[in-house]
Amino acid sequence: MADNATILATLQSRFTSGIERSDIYRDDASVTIAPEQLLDVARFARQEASLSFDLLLDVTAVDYLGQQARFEVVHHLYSTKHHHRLRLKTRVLEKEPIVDSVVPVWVGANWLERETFDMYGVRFRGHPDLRRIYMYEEFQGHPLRKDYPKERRQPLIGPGSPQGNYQPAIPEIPGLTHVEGLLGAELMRVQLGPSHPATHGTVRILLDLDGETIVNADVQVGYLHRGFEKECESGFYYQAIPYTDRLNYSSAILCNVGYCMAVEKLFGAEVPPRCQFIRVIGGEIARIADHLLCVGATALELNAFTPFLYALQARELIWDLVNAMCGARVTSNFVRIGGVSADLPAGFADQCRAAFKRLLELVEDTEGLLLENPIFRARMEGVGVMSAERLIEYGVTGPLLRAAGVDLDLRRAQPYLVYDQLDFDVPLGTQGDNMDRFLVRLAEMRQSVRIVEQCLKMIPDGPIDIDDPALRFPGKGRVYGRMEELINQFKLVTEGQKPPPGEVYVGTESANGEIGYFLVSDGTGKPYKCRARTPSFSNTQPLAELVRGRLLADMVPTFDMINMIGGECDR
Amino acid sequence: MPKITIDGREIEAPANAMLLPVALENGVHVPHYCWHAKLSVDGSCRMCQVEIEGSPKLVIACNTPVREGMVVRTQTPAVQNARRGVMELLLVNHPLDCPICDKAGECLLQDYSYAFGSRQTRTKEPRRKLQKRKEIGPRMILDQERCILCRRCVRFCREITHTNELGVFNMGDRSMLDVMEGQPLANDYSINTADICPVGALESKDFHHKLRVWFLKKTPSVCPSCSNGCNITVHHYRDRIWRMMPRRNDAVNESWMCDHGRLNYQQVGDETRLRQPQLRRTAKLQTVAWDEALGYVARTLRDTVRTHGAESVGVIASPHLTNEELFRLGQVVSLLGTKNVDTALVVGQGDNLLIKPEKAANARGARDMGLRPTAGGLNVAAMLEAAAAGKLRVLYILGSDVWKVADPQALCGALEKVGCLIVQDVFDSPLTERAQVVLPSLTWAEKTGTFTNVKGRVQQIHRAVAPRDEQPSDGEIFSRLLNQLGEGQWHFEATAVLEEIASAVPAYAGISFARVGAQGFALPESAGDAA
Amino acid sequence: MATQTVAVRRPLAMRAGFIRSAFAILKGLWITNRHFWRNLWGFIIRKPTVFTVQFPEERLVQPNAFRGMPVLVQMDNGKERCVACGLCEWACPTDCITIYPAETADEIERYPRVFDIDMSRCMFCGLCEEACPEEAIVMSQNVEICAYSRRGTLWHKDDLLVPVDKLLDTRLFHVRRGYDR
Repeated sequence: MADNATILATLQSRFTSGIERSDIYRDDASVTIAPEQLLDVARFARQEASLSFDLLLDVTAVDYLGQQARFEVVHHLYSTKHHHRLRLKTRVLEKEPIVDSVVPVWVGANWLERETFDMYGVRFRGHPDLRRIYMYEEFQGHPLRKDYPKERRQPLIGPGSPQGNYQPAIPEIPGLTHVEGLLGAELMRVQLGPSHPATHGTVRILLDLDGETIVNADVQVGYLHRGFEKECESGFYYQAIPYTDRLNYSSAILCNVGYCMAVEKLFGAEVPPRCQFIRVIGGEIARIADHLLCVGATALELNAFTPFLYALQARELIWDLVNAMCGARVTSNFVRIGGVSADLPAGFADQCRAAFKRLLELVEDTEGLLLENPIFRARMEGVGVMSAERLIEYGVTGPLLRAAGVDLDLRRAQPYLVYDQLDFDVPLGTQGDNMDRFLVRLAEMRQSVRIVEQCLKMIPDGPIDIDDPALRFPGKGRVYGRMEELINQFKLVTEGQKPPPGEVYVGTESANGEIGYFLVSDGTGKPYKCRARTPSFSNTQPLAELVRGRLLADMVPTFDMINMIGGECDR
Repeated sequence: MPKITIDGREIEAPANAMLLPVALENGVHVPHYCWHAKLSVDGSCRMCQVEIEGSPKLVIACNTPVREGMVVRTQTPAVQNARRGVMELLLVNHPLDCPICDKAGECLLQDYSYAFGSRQTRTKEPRRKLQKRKEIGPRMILDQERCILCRRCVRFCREITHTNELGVFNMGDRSMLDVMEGQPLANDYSINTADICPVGALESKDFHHKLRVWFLKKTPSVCPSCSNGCNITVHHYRDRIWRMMPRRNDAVNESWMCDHGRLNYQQVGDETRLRQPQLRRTAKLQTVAWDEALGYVARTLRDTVRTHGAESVGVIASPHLTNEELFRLGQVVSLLGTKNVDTALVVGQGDNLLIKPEKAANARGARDMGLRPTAGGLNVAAMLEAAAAGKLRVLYILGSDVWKVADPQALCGALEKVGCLIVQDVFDSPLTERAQVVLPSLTWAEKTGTFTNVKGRVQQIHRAVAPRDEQPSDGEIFSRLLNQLGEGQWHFEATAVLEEIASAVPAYAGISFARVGAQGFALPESAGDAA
Repeated sequence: MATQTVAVRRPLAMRAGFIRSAFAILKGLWITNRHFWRNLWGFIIRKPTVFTVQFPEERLVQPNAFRGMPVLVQMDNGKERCVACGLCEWACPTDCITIYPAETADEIERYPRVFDIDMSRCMFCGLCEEACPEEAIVMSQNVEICAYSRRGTLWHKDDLLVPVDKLLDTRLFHVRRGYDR
């Protein structure tokens, strides 16, 4: 792992003129480069052995309305070899927001650049397929631009046809023009979704079939797009926490934790140890719930109903724990900026142990019903295989990548919270097929149980909130009777926490991979930019390639093992 | 010009200036309660203490004149400590009223406590009990517990209105703010004391318990109530005006506005307002579509001019319209060819502070836009006379001020006789009862444009609340009338019309919204008022 | 403490064999049967082990932390504790609260003339409760907001008032633990 200064020095020695600015803020290295240098810098960053940024985490833009170079296109890079990060920034003019596409360097930039185009209207030169991705084609304007008012409504059908005579146009799959099948018959166009029983998530997959073989697939996401970033940017920092619940709604606490850590990083604050342990406990419990859903739903969609019920029964136990912690089963809204909403309830440790005992039994039963089952194995083994390098190129993280044998778990690679004090294994797969993905998830659940049990033993007494009135609401007991604290409460609620200007990125290991929050603060109580880099989005991208040439039936287990969570993918 | 250094920055200060205003003007924020730019120095709050090199103690910046070579520090530990101490003492007796106090959200006590205070209460003793909710005037209430005794209000009543109603009574920690015996705070500017009160001790009854200030959106505008043109900020939310606050403009109203003007916003959100055009086909007025009403108006005007000549049409303009709208109206009038045009202007009492006798925001603008009788034309009284004599067949009246200006009997007589009465107004009035066509008009708060005040200062108003049902502005009505009368394709867009004015009206040559800006644009002296 | 990587253990390669398949089926039967007998035994001794709850006849016992819909705390004199300070209205991410304050002759001079919560927008996040400086709005255990029309999901002040002693051992118990932090 090279430190930030070395990374910047390496880049600067190679590109003497193209680098306009480089700085390290809150341990984040970032360089601003001239737009014409972007592709060269990207190639160099990927190929240079001491950098080897092989994973493109995120592409987005920041709209600095009123400045001549209005859009700042931001790339976040990660190296799976050295485990270090870099932020590449490029300023483009308002008049002509065009920047080179980095798809030739990382194929995973495809969707990310489409999203940036959709949301900001920044065009990418050399992009193979620059369509809108979340909004529909008839949509006017680019919603994340600062001059697009949040309140503006547009008809969901095309302009000029308010009566609803809208004919859904079936878009052409790029690169495919009237291919004839083997028997000379035309290909058959099948629409899987947007509301299909075997896709637990609203997504439309356009399939061109030759018989039962998938010739090409076009995955269309965005049916659950609800403007997470726009909502966050129009509210205070603390108001965004409930929205992060709804990213990955099957492991909401993990999304809370990442967001709050990002805001705390903006402040340069660190939460007390007890709080860190509580966050780890909450997060790992949520991870178990997420994996249980994935495992159970996969079984269900491969026609095995009983294991699904066992998995959901186990998940019910998890929800009871989450409910006791924070008062809601799914939408936890548990973590706060500078703390957590409440301490662990009395008797929580015992409740946890009892739940885990039964949970492990149920996991065992689920596994027992499936792993030896010939049908299940036939549909999982050897299906959906992709090489580790290709997956990394697509920006895939999490269990999917680990199933292909890549040792990338941020809890181990860049330990945050108290993960460096804990003893746990990172399960890796060997073949990278759906069966490995399934097994990795099963194994991770057991590791999470281990982590929580350790935490419950190790958790120290002490405050659960940071002792900084600028971050955390004062205790209610003091608000009710004291002047300064009452004022503090008023100012925090009405103006929000105000971090110093700056930008940070925090990546944490969520259930499906790296969930990263990129926050830009302009010193006010509202985030200037609040970007969530969500694993489901990047993980869904290789789906088309994973199923190409396979049978239609292979689509289902592969899609299930990707575990696309609609809320997280579409934001 | 002495040169001083504040926090390491060299600043050139005007001679004999006090340190605090110099610091504030140069962007160094020194917290203060009792000091106010438009009032004398009191030095009672001790919040603005700063460190000056060579001085053994901290000094208050508001009462320290700048000296050549002075080195000032505003962020040292000693200063911060002093501020913390001042804040703690101010809060010792402050009631826990934030949840019920109208000031919360724009309260300097909250701001400074959060920014400079300790954030930890140390006192456990009970807080001082004094009178709350004391009615001290027809428009003001006083909460003595909340008062921090900065005496801004006392100085305001002494130095600005010269009425001396308020004072601080008793001594030491028993000091409290009150009104003089038998002398309620009833002057015409009393609500200004609520604005300058840094805490919620003085509150306007009008805004009392109405809305939290965080919700308010702010739009700069100009007060419509008299021709002084006080600069104001309209505070609105959910398309409703909640209050109006003066906006500082040293050339017009300094930091003040009168109570009458401040409370004169109710008509904007009134439910009884006219919203749809009406036409009298039979005995009763009926709601019709805009095109139909305007078509009728245009037809009537054209036919009357054709058959009876232009002198059979009279137009009485309203001085409440913007310059741009009046300019368009002028175009309509000259297209008709009539010389019978005048403005109905209510003239009342004025004072020597802000209130002016002309009770309309744009009286001067109406004159400048040529809406007054020219040679051979009739003024308001003469028009009514002519109408009563049957010589005037169509009368187009904008606003209802004519009702207050003209002799009621003459007006009634004239309205009986006139063939077609067209009324364009915000509200129903005796005029609309007699009208053939009624066109609803928009209020100042729903428009963008300019007003010219009595001293010839052109100032901008901005749309604060959206009109309901996309009701067209008066300027839009005139533009559509011009189209109907058959001349070109007119639109109404304030910026473009102001450009037309700049080229058509000599006194307004070169004017534009950019030049008017936030503080207004004074017309050249040579462009004397036509009145 | 160190973390380490481990490879997951894959099931043995599936030989095209009738025996393995039969074994898998038998194992499956064994697991499902175990669950069946376990549930039956629970039914017989009246300690049900099934986790299905026959809603609405049966209801789950929620922990006291449970965050249902926000309600207004009613004091002993029947009035609301709320003074219409508007912090909850401002803190609400979905803008579902509408308050119109007014003056009363009581000692605390302000009260909410109108206090509406649009339950169809409310997401039960609890930020209103956290913002409240008077312990006047708290989350209740109620989650049932069904109505026959959209208008019915708009809850007014009278619908929202809940006596304080009904909340003491539910959500108030939970939040009061954190008061002196």
